[in-house]
Amino acid sequence: MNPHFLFNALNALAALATVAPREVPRATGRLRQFLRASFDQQERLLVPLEEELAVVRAYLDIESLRLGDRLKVEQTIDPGLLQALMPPFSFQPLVENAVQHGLHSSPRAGRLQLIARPTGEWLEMSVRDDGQGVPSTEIEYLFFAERPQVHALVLLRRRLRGLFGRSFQLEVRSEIGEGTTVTMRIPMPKRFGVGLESPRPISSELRELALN
Amino acid sequence: MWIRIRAVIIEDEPLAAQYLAALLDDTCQVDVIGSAIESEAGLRLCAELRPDAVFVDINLPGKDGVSLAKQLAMLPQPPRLVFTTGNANRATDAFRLEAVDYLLKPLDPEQVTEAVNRLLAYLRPFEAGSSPSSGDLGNGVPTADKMRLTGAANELLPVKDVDRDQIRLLARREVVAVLRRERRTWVHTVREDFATYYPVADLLRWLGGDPFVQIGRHAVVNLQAIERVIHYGDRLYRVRLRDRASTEITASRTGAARLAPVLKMQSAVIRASVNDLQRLA
Repeated sequence: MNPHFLFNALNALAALATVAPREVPRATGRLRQFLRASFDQQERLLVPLEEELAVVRAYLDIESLRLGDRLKVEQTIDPGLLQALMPPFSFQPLVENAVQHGLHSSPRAGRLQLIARPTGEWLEMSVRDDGQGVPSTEIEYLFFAERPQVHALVLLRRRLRGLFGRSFQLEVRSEIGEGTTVTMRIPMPKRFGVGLESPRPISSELRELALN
Repeated sequence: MWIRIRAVIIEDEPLAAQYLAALLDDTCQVDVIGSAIESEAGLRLCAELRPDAVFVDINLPGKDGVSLAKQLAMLPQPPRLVFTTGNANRATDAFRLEAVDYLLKPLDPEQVTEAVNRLLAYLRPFEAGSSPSSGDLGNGVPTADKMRLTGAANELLPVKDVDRDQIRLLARREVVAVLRRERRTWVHTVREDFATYYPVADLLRWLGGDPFVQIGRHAVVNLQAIERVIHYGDRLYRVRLRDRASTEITASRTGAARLAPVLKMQSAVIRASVNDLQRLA
């Protein structure tokens, strides 16, 4: 979890306590839900998309406390995929990236498009923002450079590599004035071969991989 | 006549803007006459309304609060600035822009009241009792440019308290010494020291002369905070400070020349004892 998110959330709660005290319990509940999921993410290797979407919604609810009407979210989720398995906290960083960088790049930005759909043998998830965008030539440096404070997408890429080896894609498309789209493709569950009903306990080796 | 401060809020987050407006309203000293959610609209609004004060979020989307502040300063009737920020790291940017105060989020009602009182001191100096010092700059008369850079208006120096992730505002009298080492400028108080990025020369101007003396190219000390002066040869002085670490500083030749008359005048020269000499040898 990005510490700025938590600081922002606490600032928003402090403000809400004066501006609209009756909203505080609900907002706190959303934050609680998000933190619970964040603390528990290491317990299971994979979770259904539906669960990941609930985390994303809790996240967006908290951010919309701050951002107000500016934040507009359109979701296109293939209903057939709701039970599809994916690593926990893999869609959420794409959304957080779009809020933190995309929406912050311009005062007029505020629209997010979330998409989850099957493409061939892949489960494809993408987030598009209507921010400033960055020159396509700088994408690699801005999003994936190794530096002391690595970008959330670098961490996500490491986790996906640990889980899927080379069978995944994480791709950023952007141009100045065109916003940014981050797309993640992971193998469809049946190919990956993990039973849907039995989320297995994670062996220590796999846990290490997932954390790398 | 009782006139309230006419203020504008420039903040991209509606909740934060509402909260600040509520706290300002509670002080009964401020009329919020307008608000904007981004820099360009904020600048236009201030040009039109000519407020006394502007509360600016440093971290605005697109063009941020620091570049906006530079433009506000160029208005025919520039407003006084108070910055708000969720990030203590940004405070030092704001200091260079002559801000009256910095408010770290989450905003605390008392902090806001204090900022309003400081605004009043600038805007109504005769009513507020004591006028803010225009900066008694003992180290040469500054040009207008230097005044702008160092912000003579700044009564308090923001420094980052890393342990508590807070901005601390230091008064001049709290400062024991300013020392350059390891590519930072350290501001020592009696109990703590803070690493900053301020040039020593800027801090020297802010400190404004007596009781502060530059005793080396990289050292400014508060004469009242010297625990002892060790005189170990012709124009060779070491100064020990009354801080937690009993920091010792060797005076440069020029520094010693500045120090000597002051010490004579204050009868504070302590001849090095045999012990001190032995310890130094």
